[in-house]
Amino acid sequence: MDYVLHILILAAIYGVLAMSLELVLGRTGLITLGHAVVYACGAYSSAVLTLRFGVSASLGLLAGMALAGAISCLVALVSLRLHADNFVIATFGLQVAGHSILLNWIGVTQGPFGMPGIPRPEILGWRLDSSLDFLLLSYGIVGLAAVVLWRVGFGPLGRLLLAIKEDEVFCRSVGKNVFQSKLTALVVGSMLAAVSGSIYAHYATYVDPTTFTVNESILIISMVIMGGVGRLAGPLLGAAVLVALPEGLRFVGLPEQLAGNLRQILYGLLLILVLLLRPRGLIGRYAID
Amino acid sequence: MSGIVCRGLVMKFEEREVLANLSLDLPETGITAIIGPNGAGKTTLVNVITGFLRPSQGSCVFAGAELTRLPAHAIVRKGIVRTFQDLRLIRSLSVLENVVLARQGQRGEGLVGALLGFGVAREEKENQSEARDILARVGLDSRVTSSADELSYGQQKLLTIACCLATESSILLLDEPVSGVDPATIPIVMGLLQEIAMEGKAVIFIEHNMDVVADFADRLVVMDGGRLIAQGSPRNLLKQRRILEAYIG
Amino acid sequence: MSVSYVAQLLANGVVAGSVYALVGAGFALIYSVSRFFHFSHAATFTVGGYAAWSLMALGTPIVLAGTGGVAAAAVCGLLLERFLYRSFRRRSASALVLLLASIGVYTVLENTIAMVFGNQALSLVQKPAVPGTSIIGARLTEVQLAAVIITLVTFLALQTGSKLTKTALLIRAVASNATLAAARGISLDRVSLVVFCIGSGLSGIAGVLTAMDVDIVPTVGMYPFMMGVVAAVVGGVRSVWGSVFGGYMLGIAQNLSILMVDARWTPTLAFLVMILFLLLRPTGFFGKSVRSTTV
Repeated sequence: MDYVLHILILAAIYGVLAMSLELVLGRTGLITLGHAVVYACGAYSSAVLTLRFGVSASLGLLAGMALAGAISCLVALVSLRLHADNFVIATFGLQVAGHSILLNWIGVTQGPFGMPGIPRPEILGWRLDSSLDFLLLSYGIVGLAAVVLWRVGFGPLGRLLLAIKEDEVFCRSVGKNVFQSKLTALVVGSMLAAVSGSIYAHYATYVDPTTFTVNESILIISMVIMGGVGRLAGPLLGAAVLVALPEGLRFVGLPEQLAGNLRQILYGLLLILVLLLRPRGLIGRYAID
Repeated sequence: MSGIVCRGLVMKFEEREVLANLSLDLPETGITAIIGPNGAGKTTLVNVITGFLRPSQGSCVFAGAELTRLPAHAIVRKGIVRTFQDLRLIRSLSVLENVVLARQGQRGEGLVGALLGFGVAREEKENQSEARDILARVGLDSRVTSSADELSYGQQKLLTIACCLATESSILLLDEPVSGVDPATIPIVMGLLQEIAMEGKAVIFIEHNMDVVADFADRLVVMDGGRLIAQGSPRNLLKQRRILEAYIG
Repeated sequence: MSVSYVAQLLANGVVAGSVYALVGAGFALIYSVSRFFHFSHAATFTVGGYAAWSLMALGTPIVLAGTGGVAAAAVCGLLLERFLYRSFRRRSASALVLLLASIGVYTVLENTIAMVFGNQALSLVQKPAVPGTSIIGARLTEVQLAAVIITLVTFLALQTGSKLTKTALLIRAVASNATLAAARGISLDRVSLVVFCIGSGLSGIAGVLTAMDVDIVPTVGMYPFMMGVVAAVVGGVRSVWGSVFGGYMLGIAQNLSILMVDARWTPTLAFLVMILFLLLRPTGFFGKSVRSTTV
């Protein structure tokens, strides 16, 4: 039973991650290879602040969001005005540099040893301990994230972002500040990813750099593609599928390492197949571009 | 007299001078046609005025603002809107949505507005109603819910003009508004532009079709090699057809 | 801080730079024709290294094994273009889709190699306890010296080839204006095959040279790939030779920076430098004529 709850919680955490990326990638058309870094911002901020400084979980969460927002602002200021491909490269750089910092800044992050013993959070007197508690929390966050993303991604702003994705020159020609809108999408998406990170840290009570590699960024992208863009349920479904699928591999009986490799192979193959044969993904409203 | 005042514009693309010390005045009323051979720099001029290109030298002043220092979207807010030679529209949106998109100052497009939504619903309703009126005016009211993709070429051109009207700009810079449009539709488009000019807006368009220019323009601007060659009334200039033919051919 | 220490860093920089230059050159070559961020370039590197290892494990002499590795990488790139990327092109897939697909390819290839060869480090050559040769106080192993020489020879061959062969002309034609080239009857399909073959081959050379120098793991290709991308950006020009220049500059700068900063921070520094270049010389790599934001 606990195992099922675990899967559901992971699905929720990745669901929020995927939804947040859908705003950036699916709706606004910004290709980022660094989503795992802003995810890590939330996780590590919560870890460091609650573990080392006894800060409350809520504050840790807010700090994580602020950090993620600041970093994505910085990246945006530097590279958003450039040619689209240069933006991909810049986010790639962010991913590598970010992961490198997690690995090497041992004083703060304890590097490859990770940070065990992250305290369980207490929110307004409610101390979250059991899997059931986290199930409630994580799906509550899914709901909140859905509301935020619905307001940002649909309605006039959402329409503008879609237009920017298709033809930003046209948008500029009708008086739209394209840079500002892209920045908005990026920052909102990053801050939501940080929320996910924070929950993950408190749930797993342990974080280490191996969770936040470029593979993770790729995994989140796959969830968005697989589920489909254009509706909020898309990335949620994609997350659920890609979280549940490898669990099925456990029953194949491979040693842990090899199972990990096989899982990655499946992810890669699925990504290619979806892009080639079903660009809309499972329930997307339109193809990724 | 406050139209667009350009002085000493220089624009280089890889050693080639596309605009060579160009100075001209574009009026803020009436219909002006910009003509000249290919490569004369007409589209480049429009790009510079509307902020899509930065000139290496020179200035463009409109309504007291130096346009060469403003980003493109700010220039629209100042009151100058343009269309593109290769017909840009958002094909994944409907006809109505394209026009609503062009409405200025939407609170719903900002983060705070989107999240909190104060007055956004009302603003959206007003914009949609305004957009429908504009579409009715250009003759596209029957296609309001079609995707922009589904329109004919001529209808798409009308849609781009509708978007220009939606911005409530006082100057419309149109890059070949009737090129590629079937001859039956040309008078419809030009008639619409005449109406717009009569409301006190300026319609400035680049055109190669000399008949259209002769029939509809109040004023002519002739460019070649990145310079101003002549300007004045079409009747006078076109009388010097011999001279013009040397340029336009 | 002695002269020989600096010389050592410089020497290390040239060795590292050789690898980055090869990978960057291959990447730029492929990009100039295909116009998308071909992420699986990192995988062809790895394929080269592991193919060479396999051949050596089977008893092939080192030079032949190395050549085999390069060939394997080139073929890998060729197959990818012929059977995957071309299918996407037929469906008018955008650069975004191609990027994502190539990311999928990288994931599949890297993990397949991991499943076949294991995740632990493999050695290609027995490394001597003390590096072999000495130049102005800098010590380099024979392998490292060979690597630099082989790289220089490769670039010489590339330069000669680009001046003399008709293929190079075709590549340049497509790179500068694909539509015009197609109108002139130049087959984009054929040229794509060629650049993927050569570009992946270059990556493969880098992979083989790396495999001979250090132990390899399945993820060995990622870091040089990233550096190759940085090299292409830093090179400041949308050209193969710009990336070569960038690669050497990057390798040397990275190693010299150890004088000031702890070695483990050099990757981060490299990317910060890259971001600086993106700010100051962004038009260099991806070119002004490609999908420019003006009309």
